[in-house]
Amino acid sequence: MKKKRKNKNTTSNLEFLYRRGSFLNSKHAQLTIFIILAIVIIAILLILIYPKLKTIIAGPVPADYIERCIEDSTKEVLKKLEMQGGTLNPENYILYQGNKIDYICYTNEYYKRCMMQKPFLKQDIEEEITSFIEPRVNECLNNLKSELEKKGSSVSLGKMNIKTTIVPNYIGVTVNVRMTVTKEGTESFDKFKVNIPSQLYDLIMLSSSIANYEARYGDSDTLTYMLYYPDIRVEKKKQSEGSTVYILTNKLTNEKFQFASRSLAWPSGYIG
Amino acid sequence: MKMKNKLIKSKILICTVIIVISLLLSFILISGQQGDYCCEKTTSGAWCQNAPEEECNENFRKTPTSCDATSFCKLGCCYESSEGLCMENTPQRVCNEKGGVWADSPECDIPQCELGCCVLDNQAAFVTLTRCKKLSSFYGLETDFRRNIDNELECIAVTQAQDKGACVYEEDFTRTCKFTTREECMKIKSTGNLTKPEFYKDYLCSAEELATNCGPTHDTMCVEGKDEVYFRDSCGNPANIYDASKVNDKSYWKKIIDKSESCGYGKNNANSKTCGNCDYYLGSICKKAERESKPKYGEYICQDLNCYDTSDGKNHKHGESWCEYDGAIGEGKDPVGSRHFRHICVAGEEIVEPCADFRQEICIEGKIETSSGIFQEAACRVNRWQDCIKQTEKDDCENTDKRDCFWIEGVHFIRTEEGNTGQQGGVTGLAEGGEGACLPNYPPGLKFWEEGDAEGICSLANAQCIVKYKKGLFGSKKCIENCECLEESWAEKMNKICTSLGDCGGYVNWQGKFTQDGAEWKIAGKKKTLSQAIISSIKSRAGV
Repeated sequence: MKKKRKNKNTTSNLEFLYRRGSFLNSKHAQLTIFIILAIVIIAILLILIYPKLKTIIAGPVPADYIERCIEDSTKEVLKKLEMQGGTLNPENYILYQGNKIDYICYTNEYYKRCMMQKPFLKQDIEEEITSFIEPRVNECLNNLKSELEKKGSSVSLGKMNIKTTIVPNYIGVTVNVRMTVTKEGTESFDKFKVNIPSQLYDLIMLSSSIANYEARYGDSDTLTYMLYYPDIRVEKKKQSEGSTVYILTNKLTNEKFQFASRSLAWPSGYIG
Repeated sequence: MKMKNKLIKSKILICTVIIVISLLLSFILISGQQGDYCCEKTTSGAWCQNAPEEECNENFRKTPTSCDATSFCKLGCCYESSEGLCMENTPQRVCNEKGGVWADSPECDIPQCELGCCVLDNQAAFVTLTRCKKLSSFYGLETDFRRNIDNELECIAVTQAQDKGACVYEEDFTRTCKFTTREECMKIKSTGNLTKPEFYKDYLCSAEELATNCGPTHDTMCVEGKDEVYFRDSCGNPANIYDASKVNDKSYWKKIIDKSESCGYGKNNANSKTCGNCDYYLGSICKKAERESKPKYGEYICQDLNCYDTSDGKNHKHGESWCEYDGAIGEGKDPVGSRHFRHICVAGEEIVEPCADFRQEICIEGKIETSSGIFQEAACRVNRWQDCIKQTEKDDCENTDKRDCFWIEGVHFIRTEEGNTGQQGGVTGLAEGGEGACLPNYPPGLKFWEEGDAEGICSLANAQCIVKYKKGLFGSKKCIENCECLEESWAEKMNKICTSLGDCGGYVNWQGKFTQDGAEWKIAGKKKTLSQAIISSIKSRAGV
């Protein structure tokens, strides 16, 4: 009897296996598996692209959109400003390695110390950033307004005012604008604020200090600055006609700021 | 009588006209001279420059005087109230344009620019009061400005003398701790059973007897303003200097142990896996460890700041500087186009700083004896060659306090009757014999490739030698005087003096290329050229 049971079990196991095998071999089974796999893949894709999809269907999220716009514009202008001595369109500059580098302290004469051209360097750079990003942010706001209106929202935009502040460790950009979005409910925004991590503040303060030294003594000692600020590299490149190009680099973030100075220049040869 | 009166009147009229015309002419002449105008802004965008009238921007003011004599371009101190910065040598116009406060003191000797000691928790800065307020606001601290401290060293000493220890307080009914100064501790608001914080001088927050939620860990950290690697407790407070052998030593987590009593004192402990007693002045500082040099505990190590195998083939300490050159230097040997360079070792990196071009600056170096060996320092300074050729005495020539010259014997400069006057000391040429001549030790560079003074300068070393012959019978002649002038060695000697004046004569450039275009050697009107042996000698002299 046991043997029979055994045989029965064995038979049923074999039967099961046979049925499973034949199940897998059948076309219907294969099709089912593929359909299940397809559903799983589509579900994963949907989960991944859902946020974008939501934006496309419902329209962009105002705060995220504007903040991203501010951040991108600011980063774009910073790259240019840092290479040109803090000015977007330098007037009084020296050409160095393809960049027009503005003079912070300058004299056109020989044997004389320079005169400060930019005593408020930080303020000047803040104004440059503001003037650059203003039309871009304005465009972003108008684009946002059009997109939301296309999705059926009613949008009102007030007058815009931008304030840029450069502080230790970051650059703060605040866009003050009254924005109201009405669809089923009403959403209001008074301002959009972005803090962009940057060590520009330290580089600007150091540059002002170097320029001050050039104005007082006609030259500066870069080693002293580097010993006091181990994270900053200060390179001094003296040019043939008496100018000096300073390149300040934050070694941790690789952020650079370069500017020019012309102080206590000596003419070549015997004339002077 | 009438005729006489007419004559007098016409004479007066003529004189008046002459005077007026003269005045007009002199005014035109004066204003036509270069650099006679103060331009508020030049066409190139520079503020307050003395320049020719045509360089002044028409939309701004200009006056036919020096800028120092004007009100709008007078130099002074520009005080910026938002940052508390004082910018020196600033034209009034530039300062006012940006809303700054201008003061008639080019070196900023005004009350707003008075420096004092700004104490920021456990650090200090020697700055102005407004700057102190700004810095304090950045760190969220109350302004602590001490006017009585008038130098930086004393300011730093103030922070080091402050009492430091464990500040125990309650927060959300938890007894916690912050490692800080006594003053800062008193400002902390305690909630719960402790009405005010308790300060335990010289204690660490991880001390068991304080019964706080802060305890020892195996983590390390860098502390702002400090060089060393510190242990970090579970509350994020720094403990004592990292010493792997003491990680589980309870006594090491109890009280502050001085740097001098910690591991590896007096050494830089660079790259040490077990000791974090870094020393900035010995060439190490706390930094996050690289993958290859992980310490035994934690993530931070003493990074080696010294430089190894630098461009001069030597190792240098952090902060050392040395000179390098494009070729030989001194005694007029500097090759054409060469410059002096200052190399600096900072934080393990070699940085190159060129001195001024045209050898208007030279690099000088010196050595200092210290307890940890010799420390080398270099600097670029002005090349004082300008009055070398004016010197007629050897002692004056070689006076290194006043000038950078060298004395050469066997030749002398021919001077005009007026003597040692003018820029070139009245020199008109060079001649054999005499007491000697004074020449620049580091010859200045000249713009010899364009129209300028190069030709005039180099011609000062023009040399002429009259060789005398005695005619014999049958047309033979024998040299009896200055016969050495016929030799190549004479030409080489004169060329050497020529090259010492500046970028003159036949010489080598910094790339090692020799050209003879700067010198001409003739005997009896016939051009001669220097032999290859002499050229090789010149090249080796240049050291390129």
